[in-house]
Amino acid sequence: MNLVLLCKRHNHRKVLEILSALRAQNLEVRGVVALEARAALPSFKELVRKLYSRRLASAQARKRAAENAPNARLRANGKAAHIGAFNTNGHAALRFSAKPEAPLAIPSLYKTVDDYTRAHNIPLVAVPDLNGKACVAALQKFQTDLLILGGTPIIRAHVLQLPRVGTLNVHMAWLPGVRGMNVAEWSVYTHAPVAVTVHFVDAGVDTGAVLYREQIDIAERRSIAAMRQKLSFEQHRVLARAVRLFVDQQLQPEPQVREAGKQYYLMHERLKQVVERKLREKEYK
Amino acid sequence: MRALLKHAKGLYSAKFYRPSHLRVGLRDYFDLRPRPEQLHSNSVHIAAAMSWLCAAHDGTPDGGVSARYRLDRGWAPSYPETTGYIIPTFFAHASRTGEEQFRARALRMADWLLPLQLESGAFPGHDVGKTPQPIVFNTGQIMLGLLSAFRETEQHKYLRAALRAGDWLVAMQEPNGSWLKHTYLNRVHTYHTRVAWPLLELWVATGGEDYRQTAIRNLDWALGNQLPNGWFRENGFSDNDKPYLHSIAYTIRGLLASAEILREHDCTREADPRYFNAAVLAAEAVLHRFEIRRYPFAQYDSAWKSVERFSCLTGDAQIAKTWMNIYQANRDPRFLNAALKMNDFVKSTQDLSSRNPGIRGGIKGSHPIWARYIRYSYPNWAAKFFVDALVLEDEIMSRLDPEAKHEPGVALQTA
Repeated sequence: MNLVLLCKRHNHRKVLEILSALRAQNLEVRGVVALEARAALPSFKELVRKLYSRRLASAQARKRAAENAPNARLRANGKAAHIGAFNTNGHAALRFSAKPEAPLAIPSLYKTVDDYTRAHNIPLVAVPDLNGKACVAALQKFQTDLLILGGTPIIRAHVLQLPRVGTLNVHMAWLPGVRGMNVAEWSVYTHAPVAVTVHFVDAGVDTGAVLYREQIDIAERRSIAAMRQKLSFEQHRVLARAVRLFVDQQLQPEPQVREAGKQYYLMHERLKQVVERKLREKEYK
Repeated sequence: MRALLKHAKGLYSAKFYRPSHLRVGLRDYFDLRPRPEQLHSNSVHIAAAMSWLCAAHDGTPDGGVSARYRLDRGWAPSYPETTGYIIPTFFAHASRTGEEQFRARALRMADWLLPLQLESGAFPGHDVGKTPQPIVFNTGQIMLGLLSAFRETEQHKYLRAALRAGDWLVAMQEPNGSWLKHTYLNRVHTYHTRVAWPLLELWVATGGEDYRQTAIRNLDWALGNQLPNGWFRENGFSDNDKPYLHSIAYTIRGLLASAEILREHDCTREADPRYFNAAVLAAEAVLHRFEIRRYPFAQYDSAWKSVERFSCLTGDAQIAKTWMNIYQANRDPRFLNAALKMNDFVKSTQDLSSRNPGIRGGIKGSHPIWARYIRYSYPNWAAKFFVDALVLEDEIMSRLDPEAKHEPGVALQTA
């Protein structure tokens, strides 16, 4: 079965984890089709907005520094303390401008997608648009049987129709219960099982047939960031395992009952605070 | 070219050469709004909006609340309809803050409304100063204020006025449950569910069965106007094909509030969830559009599509409050989540530092200010619904996350 990975070229960590996990299951990838990052020039309006936002942020930071001595110390101490560190709205209390890159869950010799594909002789095709003609041509060239999505924007129906068997995606929650965005956080918030689901992709949002599910133990993860890090690794392991079992014909897709779940959207910061508290106090399923 | 000239004329007549107006124009042109994490606490925004409402109250000499601050002509005359439903907001704020001046203002508004009542029992539409025309919707909204004044003071003059208004509404209803006579543009309107609501409140206050029957007939008629996707026919002011979110939210709120009253007080209809379900169906459709497009559009066609990119801030605040009302009933966190984002959006459009008291703390009709709904103006009802939405947000969040810092909140039903 010809496996093809569809991903973003600059998303090295995620793609390397997926490729490593697939390799650990003795699965050969026929090719990688990657979205080439393009830096678009901001419009004049966007530039003005950016300047306004920066000016507002620095004015607020100055005001808070004057009001609050510990804040001022924090600000003076390091560049890491973000200017929006403390706000009066109950949003995130402290934000850091540069997130430390989490180590790869599966140690890898390679730093980039290009390194890995070159070393393992996997053809890599960079395309400007994952729904465009170049992508379609690449998928046809690879005679794709099973397409795996590795963190992509929305893929249109004409691309999804190309693979002979179908397109697989891995979802950071239990399906059909929790569809949409920020699903790990919503799982904690709604007391749904914290899980990872591998499912086929159809025209809906996370509504395709479920192939495999696994509940994930996040007991030691006391924050959203830590939980997501764990789930991020686990989802690639689960994806590779599901593909292995499916290729070996040990799994059958199970259609979803749409009414059994809900579609969620980006979670507001104030609700994320509730999730942080639930994680701290282990108030989840 | 003609359109450009028209636009230029509009900008000139709105006096954009004035610094405070120019500031609004530039902010809206570049869409300069603080990011959510840069916003102030709700209490700051509520205080600013309440100060603006007080300025609007003081902007006219008669005791009513000025309809809007217009960039071209300043404070408009008092508007009885919205003065009516602003009254409960002032009572609630007085109770919340302990400041007596808000209660005194609410009573002054209610006392101003009483002599406006027509012989028939109806209340006039439009701003004061125009020939009084009895209007069904406006009468209903004023009843909400009178009934809240009665609950606060137990003075029967308010209840008597509400009873006369209620009797007039009962008499004016069409056999199919709609109101056609004495309506805006002499058309039926689905958003008259917001008239059924005060009738049900009157039924609770007096036990008059006619009021309940009239309200239920209207609610049933409104349900007949709903499409399977939740959209309501006959729901616009003048354009029924693309109603504003403002009138959509009116309809939903009317259904929700009525459902709540019937659930609490009417044992015979206890198991009938139709009004609540109809409200949720429409509210959820708006929610999905808002979340997917990440922008609250002003108008929606029968497929819930919006063509023009501008926002009706009044409708935004109303729908945020409605979503929170639904959350309170069904505990579906998606409604709360969307409401929090919507409130952030409206907060980001509020100017807290303008030197112009007609702008500072007010909520524009549209964002940007030159868009179609209440163009170049700050309507009083936008500030009212904004305050209601933020107060409810604080109340819900203080229960949800006791660690978060909030002002002490009280559960109050506002119109």
